[in-house]
Amino acid sequence: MTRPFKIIITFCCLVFPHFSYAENILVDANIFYTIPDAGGTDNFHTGKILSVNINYYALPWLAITSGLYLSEKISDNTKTDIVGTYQASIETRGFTLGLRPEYLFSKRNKIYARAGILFYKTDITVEEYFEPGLPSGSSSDSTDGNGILLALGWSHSFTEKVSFQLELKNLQQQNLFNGKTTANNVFNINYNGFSLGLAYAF
Amino acid sequence: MLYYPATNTLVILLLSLLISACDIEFNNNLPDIPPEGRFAVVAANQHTNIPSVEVAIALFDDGTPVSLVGGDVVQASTSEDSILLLDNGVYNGSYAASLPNAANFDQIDFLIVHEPIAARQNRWYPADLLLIDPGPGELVGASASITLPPALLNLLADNTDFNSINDSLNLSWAPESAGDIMKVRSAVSCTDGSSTYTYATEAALQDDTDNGAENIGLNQFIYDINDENNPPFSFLLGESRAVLQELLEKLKEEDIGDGFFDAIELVNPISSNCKIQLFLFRQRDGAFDSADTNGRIYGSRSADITLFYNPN
Repeated sequence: MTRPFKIIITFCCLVFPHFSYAENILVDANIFYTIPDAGGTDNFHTGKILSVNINYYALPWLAITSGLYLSEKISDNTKTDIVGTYQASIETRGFTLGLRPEYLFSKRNKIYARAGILFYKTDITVEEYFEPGLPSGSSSDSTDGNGILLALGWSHSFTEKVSFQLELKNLQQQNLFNGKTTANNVFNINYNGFSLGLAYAF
Repeated sequence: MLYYPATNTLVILLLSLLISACDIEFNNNLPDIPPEGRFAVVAANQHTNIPSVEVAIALFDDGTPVSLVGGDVVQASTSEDSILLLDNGVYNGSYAASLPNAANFDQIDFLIVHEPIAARQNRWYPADLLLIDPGPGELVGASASITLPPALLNLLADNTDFNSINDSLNLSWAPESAGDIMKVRSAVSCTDGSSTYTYATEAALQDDTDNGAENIGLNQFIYDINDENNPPFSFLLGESRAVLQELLEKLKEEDIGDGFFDAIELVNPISSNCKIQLFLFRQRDGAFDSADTNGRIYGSRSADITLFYNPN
């Protein structure tokens, strides 16, 4: 079992007992629209990442937030260099853990932030084509590690229980393939974008 | 404002005709490539005070550029350094790079190698882990070598400021007796204050031997676009143009792009202020290691001086 999932299970064991105090729990689900940036010659298409978070209010204005995220396959632009024509794509999933301070500025509206760490497992697939007569192919590999989560959001309550969320978010997955490749090939991926979601307060 | 598509189309067509009428013939195909058989063009040049050699190579099969794919790549090397030619050159099917040569080695070796990981080094993902390798191609192992001629020393002109194309200048340099040939090429940039016209020339020399002196008319660089006679020089084409373009980028004299020498005559040089960067090349033929390979191969060393043409 990989380290992120051990942490998820441990975290759930710690958090779930608090569900008996359900009035302190907010669950939100979001779709994060992002263009990943691997910091090199990449030029990714816009992709979607689904996330579900459980927010446990330790104080009226501060919650411990944790969640799971799962992306669709997000493709890089097809590129041609002197070797061949290739297209890379990524799929990522993982777990976040952090704090969510918030400020209620009107009866139905509040702003909040999310900051914390993330754990990831990311798969990269490359498909490559050459001149006619040469065999094309694809290659995949996966890596895991940790990174940073930062977000700033606005929440608008439709009812006492249900609210809408808009977030500007940055997920940074750090040191991909560290230990598997040479140091100069290790890189980070930044996922910048916005997410739309709904939250339900227990 | 009313907008008439037909009028607009006519204006675009007229502008296109005007531009194409002024365009000096140039395209991205290397000239003088035989239509049949395998043909290689290899060039290397080191400029005075630049600690690297600009190297370029292009390969053709039956007149068509050959692409090296799958990790096949040209390696250029001295006895101390080597580099893979990973960048496409100016011309279709050409590859270029800058080979470090601070020690001024004369021998430059070219070898086609199969380096599937190194050839992908500019990709954003780790190519050593995500590798699709079709294996070496049939050209792997082909090689050639060039011996650069001696460095050009003491290049001087007896005058650098001119106001008529009937003027001339005396070039002098330290001669060598190795039998190398001399070439005078230039990058000319003319402006009327609002538009700039850039072009490159190859001067027709009275004597191309390495004797240390040459008298050259300014009409080898500056011309009148309204003159019905062709200018006495040639517009620079082929691998010489590519070498000069690489050299100018190295010298950072101009913001050189692929279109720098497209030579659309926006101003008339004879009546404009022009900056002439004159390059003297000492050039020597190289050799392919296989007698079956046809092509052009040469190495050169160069130096430059700047001339100014102010007709008013």
